[in-house]
Amino acid sequence: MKKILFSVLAGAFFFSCSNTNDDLPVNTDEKYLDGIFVSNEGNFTKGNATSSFINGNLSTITNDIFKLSNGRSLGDVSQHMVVTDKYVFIIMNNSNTIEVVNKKTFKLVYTITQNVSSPRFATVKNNKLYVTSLFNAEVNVYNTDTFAFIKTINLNHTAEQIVATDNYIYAANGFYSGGTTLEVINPETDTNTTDVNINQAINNIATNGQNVFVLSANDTTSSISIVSNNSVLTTKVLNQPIARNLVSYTNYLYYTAGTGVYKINNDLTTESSKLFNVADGDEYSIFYGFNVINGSIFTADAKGFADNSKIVIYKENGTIINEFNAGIGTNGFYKF
Amino acid sequence: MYKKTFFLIATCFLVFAANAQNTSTQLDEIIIEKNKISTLSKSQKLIVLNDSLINHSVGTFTDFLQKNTTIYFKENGYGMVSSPAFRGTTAQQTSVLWNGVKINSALLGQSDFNATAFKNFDNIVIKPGGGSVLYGSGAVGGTIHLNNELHFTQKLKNELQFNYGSFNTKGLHYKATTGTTNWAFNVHFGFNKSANDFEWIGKNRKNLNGAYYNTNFGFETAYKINKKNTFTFYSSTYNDDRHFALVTPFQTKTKYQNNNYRNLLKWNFKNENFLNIFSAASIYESYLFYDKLPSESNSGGKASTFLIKNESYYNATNSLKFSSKLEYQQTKGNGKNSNLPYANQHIFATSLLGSYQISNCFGFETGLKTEFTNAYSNPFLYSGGIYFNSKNYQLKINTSKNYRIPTFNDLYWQPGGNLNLKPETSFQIDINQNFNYKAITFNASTYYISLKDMIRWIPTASGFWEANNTDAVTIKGAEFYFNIQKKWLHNYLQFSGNYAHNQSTNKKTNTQLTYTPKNKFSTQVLYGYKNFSVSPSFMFVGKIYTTTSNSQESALASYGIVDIDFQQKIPTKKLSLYINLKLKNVTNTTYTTMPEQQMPGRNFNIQIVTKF
Repeated sequence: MKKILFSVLAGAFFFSCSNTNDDLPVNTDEKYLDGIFVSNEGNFTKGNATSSFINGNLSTITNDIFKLSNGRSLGDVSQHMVVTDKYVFIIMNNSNTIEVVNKKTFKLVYTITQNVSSPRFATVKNNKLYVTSLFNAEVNVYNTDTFAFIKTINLNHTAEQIVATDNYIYAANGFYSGGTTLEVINPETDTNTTDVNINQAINNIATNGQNVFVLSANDTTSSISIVSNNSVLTTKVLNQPIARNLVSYTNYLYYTAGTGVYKINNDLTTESSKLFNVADGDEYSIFYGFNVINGSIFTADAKGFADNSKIVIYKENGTIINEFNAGIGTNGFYKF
Repeated sequence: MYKKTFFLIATCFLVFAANAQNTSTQLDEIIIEKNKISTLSKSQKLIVLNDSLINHSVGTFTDFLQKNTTIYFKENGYGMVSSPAFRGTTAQQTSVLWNGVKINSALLGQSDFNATAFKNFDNIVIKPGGGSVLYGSGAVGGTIHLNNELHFTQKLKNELQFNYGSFNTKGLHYKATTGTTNWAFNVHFGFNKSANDFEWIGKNRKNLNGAYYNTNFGFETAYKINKKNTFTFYSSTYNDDRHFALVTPFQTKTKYQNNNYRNLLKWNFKNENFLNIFSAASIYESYLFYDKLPSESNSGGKASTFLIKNESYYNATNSLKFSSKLEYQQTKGNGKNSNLPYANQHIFATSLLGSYQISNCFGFETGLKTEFTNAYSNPFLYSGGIYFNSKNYQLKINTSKNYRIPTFNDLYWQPGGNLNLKPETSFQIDINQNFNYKAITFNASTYYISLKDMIRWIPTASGFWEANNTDAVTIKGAEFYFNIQKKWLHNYLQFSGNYAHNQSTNKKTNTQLTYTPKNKFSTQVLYGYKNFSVSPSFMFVGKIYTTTSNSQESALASYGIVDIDFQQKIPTKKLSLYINLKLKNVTNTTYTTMPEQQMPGRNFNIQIVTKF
């Protein structure tokens, strides 16, 4: 209760701060000018997904900002967010919508529904939004300015996570279900011509803009592979089973395994090192959300989806910067 | 604390309370269940919802029980999956018995109260409190008994009813009963259908994809071979097709199909001091879930249970009675396009009960039960109780250890099913007091339940969810019932009320269980003049939490619903005709029992009931 009260008061304080700062625009609706967007997926079919916002100096959180700005609930299962210069695209999996909001006000600009079929993840390239689908082996493409549907790109398998590099777009075939294919999309023609095979089930992918890093795992080992253009450059076997998250930040990769956060050079020439173990909170569903932004490590314990998630932000040495309660099932952190 | 106590007292005495709960004196009509319920449970409270109450209700079984009992139901939208929190327990901790045989889903452990054709039953008996020694797994919060009655030497009686209501809701129900000296027959069938496309008040949209349709058919027959031997056979079929109402307009559309087939044969043998009931039953359940309409993509599961049971009742003396029960149950189940592999479960159970009546008004009873199974560690259960009866005051005290076994999904689902699960077990004590003076009845139950090893599905580090024994819960609760009646000339007036208070506290977090209101209250006034009656009623459900930490922002607000029922009886020489008009949620209150799933506003239903 105290915590909730604190965050409410803190939130109110934050608003008043940003509104009285002379350097900032006078538009009082522009509450979100620097910080981290948080996606809370909610319970499947309960329609209790929310978005949160952590301010730039990581001191306060504002929960359910979609409702604050739009007066209605966000929807059912907030799977992913894509933040661009102007907009936040919120991929609403079971609502079958992509909610486009103004980045600074979080006011709804448009709701994309055309050809949206259980959307999972999205990426932006050349002013186009590429969205994967849970049920269909396809990527749907939308214009990021007009939000008009452009086309459907057929794939060989259904895809989950999708990232864009300088040359290509990569869609990874299903997580936790044995998918081993990385489908390569040419953004000039918007066609899928080549697939890259990974020798274990893909758990996660990340990119530094040039290469794609693929985390794959089985019950005994985990591996990270570097994919460049259409082929695997190298694969490093890690000494942990079931590594789960993968983030590319500066020249390093960060991943999680068990309760540990690990770091490895992104050329995979060195061994990985453990940064720290998360403080033993709820023993289940830790690291449901994970990211490294501006050198801070963001973690979210989804508390078994029975309670509000707990966000803990760490420094690399394991020092806790701050802790917040967010919404149900916090699954992602996105830089403003 | 003072506030709470005051609130309790105020509620009991200042507010004249609820509802057409016809407590109890009709137990003798329940032919088959009579022995177990009335003879062996003198230390536990019973609530009988009789045939006229059942006949004149419309809507779902959830509507019926929500209004007439203290049990709280959460519904995934109107007409959708509905599960009870009986005395602050979970859905799997309420056992539903069909003519004495447990029919909770073997796959899910719970009964869906919107997939139960309650109009098929001649009476419904609610027995709050633990009953695992008598009724087995799931009898933790309480048991709900769906009973058919068979009558010998009875002329043909027919009952036909139609109802039509808002949202294109239609229902038909027909029942015929007849009997000879040696034979008794019942046959009944019905269907219910609704577009269920009500307006979401203030949201500028309708309830989408909420349509449902169900049919049911059943018959019962009894044959009396001689004075000592009687055979009875019960058969019931239920099929439904329910779309799941959408939370958001473009949500993936889904639907659910349920099929239940139940057959039960009983052989009663009795002589002066001995009664033996042998039962054999076959219970089949299956479901199909269509996960992305309009495609045919679906998954499902089925389970068939074969049960044999022998119950013996022996009166050693007029005051000393014994009974024993042997039971064998085999359940086979498997999934279809889902991750439930074939599994075969055997359960053998035996129990022994005794009761001793010290005087006409005072006695005690006790019971023991043990169970052997290939699926989980067997629990040892007990119960004990005393009762005291006098003209104006009755006291019942009962204590018991109860359990609910892991379901097929809990044990066998791949991945996540856990073969190392223990049954959830509970210890409880229950004190029931009844006061009656002339036309006034006041009933108060207070109870304490301590539950451990609650089974919960939780995410694991490797990304899938797994069933585990996690939480322990303490429930402190009380139920109150009040009724006063007055008749003068052609007038009839009745006030009644139900109130339940449940503090279901998770021992680890010290917070209230989710989807379990602390307070539920209902009250009803019935005024009748000759063949006309009007009955306004009010039901209040307190705030419920949807997160284990009870965060206020995720709590669903309390709500109060006002209904008004009108009835006109038109008696003719050949038949009785009733016209019922029901106005529901007359104040157009917006409410939800699940996040973001709005319930109907003001709506009506007209029902015609004929008996000939």
